[in-house]
Amino acid sequence: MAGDADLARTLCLRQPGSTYRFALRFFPELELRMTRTRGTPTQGDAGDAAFAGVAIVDDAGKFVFCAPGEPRRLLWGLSEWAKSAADRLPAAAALIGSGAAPWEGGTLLDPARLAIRRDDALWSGVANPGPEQTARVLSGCAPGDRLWYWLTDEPGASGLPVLLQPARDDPNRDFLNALIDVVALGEPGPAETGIAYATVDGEIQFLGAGLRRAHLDALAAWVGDEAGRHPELGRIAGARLLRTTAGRVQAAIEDATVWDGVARPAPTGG
Amino acid sequence: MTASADQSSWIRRVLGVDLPSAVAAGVAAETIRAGLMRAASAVVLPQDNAALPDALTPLAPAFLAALMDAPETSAEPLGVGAAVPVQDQMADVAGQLDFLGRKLDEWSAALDDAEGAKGWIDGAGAAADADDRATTLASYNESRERGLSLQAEIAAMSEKIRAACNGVSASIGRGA
Repeated sequence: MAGDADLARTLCLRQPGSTYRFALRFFPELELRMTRTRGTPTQGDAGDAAFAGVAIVDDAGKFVFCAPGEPRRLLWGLSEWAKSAADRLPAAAALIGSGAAPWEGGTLLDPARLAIRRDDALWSGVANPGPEQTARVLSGCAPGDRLWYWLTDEPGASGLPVLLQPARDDPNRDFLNALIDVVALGEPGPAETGIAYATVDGEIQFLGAGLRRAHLDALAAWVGDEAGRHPELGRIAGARLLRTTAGRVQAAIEDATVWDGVARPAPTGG
Repeated sequence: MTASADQSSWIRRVLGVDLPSAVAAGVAAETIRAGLMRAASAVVLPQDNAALPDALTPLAPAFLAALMDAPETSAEPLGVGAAVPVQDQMADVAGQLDFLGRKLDEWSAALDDAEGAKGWIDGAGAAADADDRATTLASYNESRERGLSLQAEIAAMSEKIRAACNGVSASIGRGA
């Protein structure tokens, strides 16, 4: 959808001090619209929106939505929209941690003087790491599509050794970071992060300076456990971990035997 | 390694920058890639790792433009000794910087916790119950240990970022 693409770009390319007009509708379906503004922002016509006002980006890169009405309800609406949109629009994760402030219109006041309300608990559920999420990413991944990865050989309580997210949909890593924040609750060990992609042969190549054999073993063990319930995870079978130094592949960590019993689905697209 | 609040803040928002307006107007992918190479060539790495983020700032607009509108799409298997596509190397640097920013936030929080606990022990805690003092002391030690561990991790990550930047420079130099 063109609207989604525009909104994704708007969310991904925010910078501190940027301002936007926004409208949040609850009916007939949850819908958020945002348009970048230049100069001093003023309130637009609310129309049939539940909330309409101005959003600004604070120094930490978080949005603050300013509109007439109850800020708690506005935050709730935004978090519900983010939860409903995140699967098709990962950039929705850029809203996590947003604030809301009552504002009666006119010209936007000094952001430092706004009474900003935040509620971290509301954003729980926007990002849901797990085999389903990874399988979904893999099912839509064509050869050459770049993926951000997070990879550990000590998954902690979540049991997840790997997180994947398309780089083009999530250039700022907002969604990947939201996933990491959830698995971090399970206290995983140190992790590597970088870029991965499927080759023309359908094998996933992970690139990174810190990749080790233990990462491959952890990945294979998890895929072996989960691929029965989530066949798309089988796309990871045969993965090659390429340890890089100074822009070149220094070592290829691969072992066909660790994938015994895991079926690899046919590659997507190409 | 030390990091000022400004640097930490920069890292958090390093990728949150405007694209040049030309990109939104639909500039050819080759032009976007050329812009990225030009921006990367202009980067001069500082001696101090703490200054790395500031030195890499100018790359962000061109990098985001490339990632969204002219992404690397090569799909050949890479063998040992093969050159990694330059844009993938840059994505690695960007990802590492983002990860580093998160670690800096954790480190800063650990230091705040340790300082808070120490302040209480040295102040109001002097007259407090012995059990409360012991609990706070344990918390202080835990935060301090975590801070030191994160500091070492951050230093290692910074070295990795520097090495990755050197790889990008070398690749651009040899026209990879």
